[in-house]
Amino acid sequence: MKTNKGVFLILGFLLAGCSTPQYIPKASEIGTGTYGARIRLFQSSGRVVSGELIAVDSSKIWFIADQSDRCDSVSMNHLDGFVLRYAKPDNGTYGWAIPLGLFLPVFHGLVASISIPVHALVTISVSASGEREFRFTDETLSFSKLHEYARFPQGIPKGIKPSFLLPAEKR
Amino acid sequence: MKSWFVRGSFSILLFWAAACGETGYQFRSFYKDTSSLLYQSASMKNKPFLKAHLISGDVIILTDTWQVDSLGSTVSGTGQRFDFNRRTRFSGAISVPVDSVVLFETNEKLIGSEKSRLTALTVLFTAEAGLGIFCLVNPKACFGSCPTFYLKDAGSVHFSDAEGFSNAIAPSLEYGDTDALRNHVLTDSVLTLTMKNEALETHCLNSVQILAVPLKQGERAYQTSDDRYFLSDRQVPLSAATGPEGDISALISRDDLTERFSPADSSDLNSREELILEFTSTGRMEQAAVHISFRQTLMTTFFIYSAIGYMGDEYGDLMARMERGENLAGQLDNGIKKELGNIDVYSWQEKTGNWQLEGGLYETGPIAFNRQIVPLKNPVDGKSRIKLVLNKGLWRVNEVSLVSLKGEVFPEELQVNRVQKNGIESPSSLQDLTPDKKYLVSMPGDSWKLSFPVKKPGEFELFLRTQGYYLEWMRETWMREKNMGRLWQLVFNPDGYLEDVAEEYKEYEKTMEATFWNSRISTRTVTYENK
Repeated sequence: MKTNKGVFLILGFLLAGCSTPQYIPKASEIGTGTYGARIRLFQSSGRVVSGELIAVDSSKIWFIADQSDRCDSVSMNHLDGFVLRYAKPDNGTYGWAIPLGLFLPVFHGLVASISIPVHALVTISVSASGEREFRFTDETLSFSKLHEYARFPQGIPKGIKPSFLLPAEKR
Repeated sequence: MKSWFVRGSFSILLFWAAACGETGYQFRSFYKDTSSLLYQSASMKNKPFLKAHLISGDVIILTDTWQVDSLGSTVSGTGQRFDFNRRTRFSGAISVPVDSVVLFETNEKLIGSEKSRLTALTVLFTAEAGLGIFCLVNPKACFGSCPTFYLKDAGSVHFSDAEGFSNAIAPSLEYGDTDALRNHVLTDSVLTLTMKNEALETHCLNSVQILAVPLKQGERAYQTSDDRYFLSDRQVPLSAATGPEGDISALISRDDLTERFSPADSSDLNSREELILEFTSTGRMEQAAVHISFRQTLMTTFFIYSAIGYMGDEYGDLMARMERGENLAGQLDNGIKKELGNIDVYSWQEKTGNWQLEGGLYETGPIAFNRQIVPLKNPVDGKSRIKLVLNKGLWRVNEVSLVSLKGEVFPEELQVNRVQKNGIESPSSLQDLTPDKKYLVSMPGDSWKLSFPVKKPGEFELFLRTQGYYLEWMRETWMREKNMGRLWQLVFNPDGYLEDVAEEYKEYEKTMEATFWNSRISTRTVTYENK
């Protein structure tokens, strides 16, 4: 039963990971996406926030946090790192393949003792690979290039107050 | 099976590597003017969509038909314009003055691992479907039998500590079976045992007890085939062992799950082989015994499944006839079981220059190890030679040692006082295990926790005694194997049967043994209960 709980924990983790925001374009539609990438910011205080990357200026990163209506900013000086997701796989991460392994014993009998772990490892790896695809971190993308993945790569346009900006889901 | 495993492992490595790395590369380019846009986009393999970020905060996306006029002052094409909140403002033919654009953006096609991920899943599912079909067509290779018992929580079938009443395939064949669980230090007031039904069978458990022999330091207790128990204070390991294939001492000198077995004879399943063992004891052993840790290959499983298959659609009728008193059980016991024979133990007698038969061991079941002793008739002093005579392809020998016996002991009986079924308390099931005609019925996928009170802590040699029977479920594919002639041959002419089915068994042995033993990995797994 411990294995069972572990499998469900992994499933939960992956399903949570699968809830990619709608505004992130599919890989094949990268040229037509109009929003910023989704960024997860790790602050020095230990706080972690995620949301759409709106703009980057010389000292701040502007973003609209998930579940928030407000454009907010974080000082660059107070950042430890980031993870940026700019696209999602066209056909998802295949996370649905993982739970099928729970039904294999019916057909595989004793051999299930090997087929289930192999199934779990392959499908979890495949799904994790999809989850990690199309991402940058502060180790693979410098802060100076971060603005290229924002809604406004040129910075927040003059005349537009951050408070005017709406989250992608509420536009 | 092997190639499937290799492919599966390769896929794991491939995607583990992929999963552990961030895939980052530059696919996005920005241009501040049309000349750099034209110059750099011209080198791209395919003309990209163009994204124009306007000073106002709007963005225009033009399909790959965009053009820059000869003056470089206007970009036009077909596309859409979005405001700063990315609401669509216009769709269609668009012309935009370059001086209203703050940045141009192009994106190259993203290269992902989706194709290879899809390939890995296709390979995986094809292999799994193939294995599923193989097991459905060939269930004898994939499905085990009998209730399995675990001292530790929910291990895979390969770590089963005991299997109950493997021979009892009908109510009239019910018998009590005792399996050694080895020595354990018990510190809690309760000993918990897990019982599982991991096959397509109905298990009917009449009673279950733990037999416990208290041990002092250095002591062990062993069981004979007739369920007598002896204390031992000395164990002498093997000094040499040879089989027809040569030196086998490394395989059978330790209780380490490394086993010695041989393939069945290709012309007759009833054929013997000999293992010659040597021991050197320091000091005289007045009462010595040969201790063997062993289990069967899947040969007897093949016979059981084959017999049911031969019965075809008359399986129920024939089992009912057996229950009504026709002595099929006796026939089987004196028939095929007798032909297959025990692991016979002989000792070399220097005085007479002969091998002397000391006794034999027989336990059905391919999953859990049996650990039993054969007491020797004469004392042992110094070098001694032992011979095991056994049917080729039927036995897996894990360890053989020589032990000195101190005397007979009578184990304490621990009675079950709490039963949980699939994690839920089940007082009625506890009642079923009291000495009466009721049975605890366990269906495929059921998992039971049986608790036994321990009177005082300490080290004990534990044995599991179970009594009951099980009913094998008929598989549709077996119905096609109906062959009453073969069934009667198996029952009444087992010698001829073992010769006639040798070729068929050798085919089965190849796939079955490979399938079953390739799955011997050190990992825990989920079982039916997790459906």
